[in-house]
Amino acid sequence: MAILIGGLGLFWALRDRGDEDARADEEVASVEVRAEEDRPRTRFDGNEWRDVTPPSRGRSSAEREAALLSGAPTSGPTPRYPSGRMVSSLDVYRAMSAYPPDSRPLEPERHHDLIDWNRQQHGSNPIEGDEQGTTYLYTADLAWVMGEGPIRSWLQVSRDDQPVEAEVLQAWVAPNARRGEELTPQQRQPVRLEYTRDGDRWVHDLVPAQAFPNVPRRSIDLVFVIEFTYEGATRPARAALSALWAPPGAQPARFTGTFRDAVEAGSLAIYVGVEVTEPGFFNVDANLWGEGEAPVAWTKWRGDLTPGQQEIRLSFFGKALVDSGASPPFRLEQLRGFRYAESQSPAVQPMDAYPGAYVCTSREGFADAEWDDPLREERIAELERVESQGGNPPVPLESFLGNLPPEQRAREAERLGVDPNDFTAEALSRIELPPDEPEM
Amino acid sequence: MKTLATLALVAFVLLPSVADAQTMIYVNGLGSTNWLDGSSKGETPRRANLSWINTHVDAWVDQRYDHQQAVAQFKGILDQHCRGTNWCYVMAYSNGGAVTTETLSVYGNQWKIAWIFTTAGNQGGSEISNMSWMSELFGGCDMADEIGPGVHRRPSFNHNAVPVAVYNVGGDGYCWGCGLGATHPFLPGNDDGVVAPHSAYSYTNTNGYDHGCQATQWTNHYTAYRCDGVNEDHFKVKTQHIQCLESGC
Repeated sequence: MAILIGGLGLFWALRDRGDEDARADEEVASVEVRAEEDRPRTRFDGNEWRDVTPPSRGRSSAEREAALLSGAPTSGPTPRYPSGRMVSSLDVYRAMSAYPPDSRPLEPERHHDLIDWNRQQHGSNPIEGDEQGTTYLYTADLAWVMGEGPIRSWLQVSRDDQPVEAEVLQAWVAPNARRGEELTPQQRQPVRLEYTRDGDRWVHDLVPAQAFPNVPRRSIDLVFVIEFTYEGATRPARAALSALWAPPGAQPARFTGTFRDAVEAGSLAIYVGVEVTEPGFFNVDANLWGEGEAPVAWTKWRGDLTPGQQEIRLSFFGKALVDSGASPPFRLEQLRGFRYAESQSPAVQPMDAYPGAYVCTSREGFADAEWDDPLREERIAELERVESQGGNPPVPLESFLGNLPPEQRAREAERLGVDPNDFTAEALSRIELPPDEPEM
Repeated sequence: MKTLATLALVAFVLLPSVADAQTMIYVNGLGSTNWLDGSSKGETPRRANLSWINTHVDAWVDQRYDHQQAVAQFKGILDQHCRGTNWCYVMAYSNGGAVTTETLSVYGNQWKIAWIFTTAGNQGGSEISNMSWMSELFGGCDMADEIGPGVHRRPSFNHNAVPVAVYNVGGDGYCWGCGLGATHPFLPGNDDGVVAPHSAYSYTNTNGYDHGCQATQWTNHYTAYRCDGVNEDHFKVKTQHIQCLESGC
C-alpha cells in the first residue's frame, strides 16, 4: 500500500514535468528580460503604491521538491544567515526600546501602511484552476468606508504582466456582522453590482449608504464577490474582498479640529480635540512631518474616552524628532482613530479621519535621550535573567539591523563594526540563500 | 531553632518567589479552541522543556468562528496571567500569531510580556483565505474568510505598535497535506503551503519573498535563528519555535 501511495505521489509530482520545466525556463528567461529593461514592477496589479521591484525570487519549495525528485543537482550547505552573526534578544530589546513602543521614527519605505493607511493590501493572485499563469487583482480604493462616502472596487486580469480581456458575469456585495446587534435577513440581502469597463479594468462605485439604507448604526463588513470569465478561461472564476463600513451615525467620536502643542519632557505633545458620542476604549494614530515633506515620527494613543468634548494627548518622542534631522515647522497628518468594542464583531468602529494638517508652534527643545521607563528596566532585567539560562531567541544580524531606522542602524552598525549600507532594505533585498536539501 | 531555620531555608529555595514567575502561553491556529486541540492540523503539540519556565498555559482561544472574539478571549488570558510581577512569554502558531499581535497592537503595553515567538505566523494574512476549499482544509471552519491579507492588514491593526519584540520562524517545505500541494501557486514566495513569507516573517507588504532576511519588516518584528525557513510544511512546523529554543534550529 505504501509503495502504491508513494508511486502515486511520485507520478503526481513528475506528471507533465517536461512541460513544467519548459514553462519554468520561460519564466526565468522572462524575469531576466524584465530586469534588463529595468521595469519597475513584475506584477501588473494597477496599484501605484506597490510599484516597487520585489526581491528576486528563487525556486519555490514546490520547485525544489520537483528538482529533487527529478535528480537535478542541489546546492551545498545552506548559509542560514550570510553575516554569520547573531544578536541576542537582550541587545535587540535594548536597541528597540531606545524609543518608546508607541512613538518611533517614521520611515516611508517601511511604513507605507501608516502613511497610505487606508489602502487595501491585496496583490495579484493566480486564478484557481488556470494553467496559463493568468492572475487577477480584485481590490478597492479603501479599507474603511465612512458614512455616506463611496468605495470603488475593480477587477483586473492579466497574464505575463499584460492585460487579458475579461468579462464580469455577476457581482454582488452583502453586509456582514458576526456579533453584537444582529442584521435581519432583509438587511443582509446582497445587492447586485454592475461593473463598467474602464480601460483594462472593470470598475464599480458603490455608495453603501444608498445600497443598504436600513442597517443599524454599527460597524459592518462589506463582502464583495465577483464572478468573471476571461480570454482563454476554461471555467468561470470567482474572487472576493471585504471593507469595513461605518454607516451614517455610527462614528463613535469625531475630531473637532482644535489643536495645541507644547514641548513636554523633551517630546512634542499635541493635544487633539475630540467629541465623543459613544464612550469606550479608543486608538488614535497619526504621523508627524517636517519641512519639505521630511518624515519624522509616528505615534499611537490608546485609552478610555468619556462622552462629550475633551482632548487627547499625542506624544511624539523627542529622540525620534532629533534623529529625523527634519527642520520645523512640524505638521501633524494622517490623524485617524477608532473605538474598539470587543463585545462586537467587527470590533473596530472607525472615526472620520481628520482631512487636514495641524502645523505645530513648537520648533525646538526636543531631547536626544533614550526612552527612560521603569517597565523598560524591568523587561531588560527579565531578559537578562532568561538570557543567562539560554532561553531567548537570537536574531540574525541582517534582520536586526534591517529593522532599525536609519540613524539607529548607523549607530548600531558602528558598534558592531559593520557597514550599515550592507543592511539597508535595498541591500537586504538582494540576499539569496541556496536552497537546502529536503529531508525525504 | 536550627530545624526551623533549615525548613525556612528549604522553603525559600524550593518555592519560587512571585517575582521570578515565568509563564509560557501557547496559542494555536485556525480552527482550534486551544493549544492541545488538533483541529489546526499542526503536528502533535507539546510544551517547551525549558528549566526557566514555571508555568505553562494552554490558551483557550476559539478560532473557529470569529477572529475578533478570539482576540477578546486572548486579552482575557493576558489579564489573568501577565499582570503584577509575573512575566509572560507567548508562543503562537499560524493564526495565533495574528490573534497575538492584533491584541497587543490594540491594547498596547499593559501586560508583562517579555517577547512573542511565532512559528508559521499568519499576522500578515493568507492568500488562500478566500479560496473555495480553504474552509474544508481546516475542518469546515467559518473563520477561514476572516484571515486574509485584506483583513489582517487593515488600518485598525498597526503592527508596528506591538510593544514587545515579535520573533518569527517558519517553514518552506512542500505541503503534501495541502491538497497535494495545490495551495503553493496561490501563495507568493517561498511558502509553507498555507502562509507566505510576507506573513510568517512580518513583512510590510504582500510581495513574494524567499526568506526572512530580505527587506522591510514591521517595526520590532524579527526573524529568529535563521533567515530561511526549515524545510517542512505549515503543519509540521507547529512546534518549531519550541524546538529552536530547546536545541537551536
